[in-house]
Amino acid sequence: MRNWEFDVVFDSQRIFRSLLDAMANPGCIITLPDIRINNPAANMYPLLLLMTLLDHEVSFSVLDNGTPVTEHLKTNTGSKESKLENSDFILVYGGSSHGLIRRAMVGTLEYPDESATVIYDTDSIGDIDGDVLLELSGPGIADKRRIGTSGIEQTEIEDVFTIQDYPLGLDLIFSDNAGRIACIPRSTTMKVI
Amino acid sequence: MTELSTLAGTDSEAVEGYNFAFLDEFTKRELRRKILKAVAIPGYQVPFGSREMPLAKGWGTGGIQVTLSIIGKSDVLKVIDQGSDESVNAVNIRNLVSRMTGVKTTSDTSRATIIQTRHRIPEEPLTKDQILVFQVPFPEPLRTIEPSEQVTRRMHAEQDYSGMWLHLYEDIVKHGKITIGARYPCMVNGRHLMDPSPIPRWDVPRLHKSPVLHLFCAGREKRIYAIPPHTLVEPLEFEDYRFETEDFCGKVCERCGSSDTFLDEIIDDATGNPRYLCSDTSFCEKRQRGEDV
Repeated sequence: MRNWEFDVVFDSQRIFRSLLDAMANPGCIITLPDIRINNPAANMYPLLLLMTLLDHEVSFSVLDNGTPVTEHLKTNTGSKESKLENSDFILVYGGSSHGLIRRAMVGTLEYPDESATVIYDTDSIGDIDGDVLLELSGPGIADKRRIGTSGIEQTEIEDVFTIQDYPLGLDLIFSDNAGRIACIPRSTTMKVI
Repeated sequence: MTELSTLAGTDSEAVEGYNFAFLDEFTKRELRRKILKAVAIPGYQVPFGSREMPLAKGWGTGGIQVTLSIIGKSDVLKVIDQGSDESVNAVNIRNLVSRMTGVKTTSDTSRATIIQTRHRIPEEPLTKDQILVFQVPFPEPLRTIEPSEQVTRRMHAEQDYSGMWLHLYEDIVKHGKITIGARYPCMVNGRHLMDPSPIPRWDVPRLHKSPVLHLFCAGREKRIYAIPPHTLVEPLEFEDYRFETEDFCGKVCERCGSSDTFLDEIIDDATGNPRYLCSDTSFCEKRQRGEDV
């Protein structure tokens, strides 16, 4: 169904600025602006992010949530669904891609930007608590930063580890039910603690 | 202080008949996706489909496309050209953005949320809530030693910067020192060699571990790159031939008396003697008013 309540001009600008802030400050928890849409999933925030970023020039795939979300994104953005290994954007539900993420695009050394951005639908993101605690350092982080997430499996993070080979790799966005997001771009060094 | 938008008579709603911020939404989306990739790979040049803008290529079309794709209603914009808010390029870009968005504009560095700049970093310390957008004429630092884009891309891929080191070495052999004035090549995050745009050497160390997000865009050359906050930015230097900033030892600004800012040298027509003035006019005026900056 078409989402008429989403303002393509102004809502997407506000969401993008929150996302830019989060990407420039990895691990920093940013709250998305309060924008409501009719959505086919329990957590609408990953959809808001994709409605901000997708159009006909890029492709996406959704793991583990069936057709309503895919149809919603196709209808509202004009973007194409594609195989995981060709997708510019990947939305993962259930906290794990069961190893599939290792097949995602990581770019080439000449064009490392031709790689996937992965959005994880998580239960919650916090500074100190969560099932998986990560310690981050690198660009965008003054010294070190800690982040905890619930609703993502540690094996998934380890799978991402195995394919990160800077400047090649994936850029991760965690998005929770309360509208909080946190990013871990490939430039960030992370370890599970 | 009077808002510049009030002075210019553009302090109202955006002009009707145009999309908010001039660009169409597909263009903004592409730019936004590329900006995110640029932030994720600091110093790497992301190609993008640069659009025709209502100003000539080479006059800040890259910077303005980035500014227009990130700006929102609540932003406050400052535009400077070589440190000045009042030069033709700065005034025209500011008026264009202001008429296309209706946002407030200012010359006060501390009040701005987005600062678009041509070839300077404001003297006042910037904060983490600000974004600095640079206009870039030549994004490729290796272009002086290699004309082919295909080859320079491979050099970045292989992190093969020996040609650039040799270029610096030859400079020292010929002139006894590194003679690069502006556009001093820097290593970003220990991986990509980057052209910091023609900012003076004075501003280069200020990119290092700065708290602000820096976005660079070359409209004619169709490239976007970025330095996120707190990122390592190291100018190339040898152990025995260090990177040096401009030396203003013993010189002070004629207007505000500053001895710790980047100064413009102006030759007095009458006497033929050099005079010195702050390049950052907003900072200079604040000092003249006795504000603590």
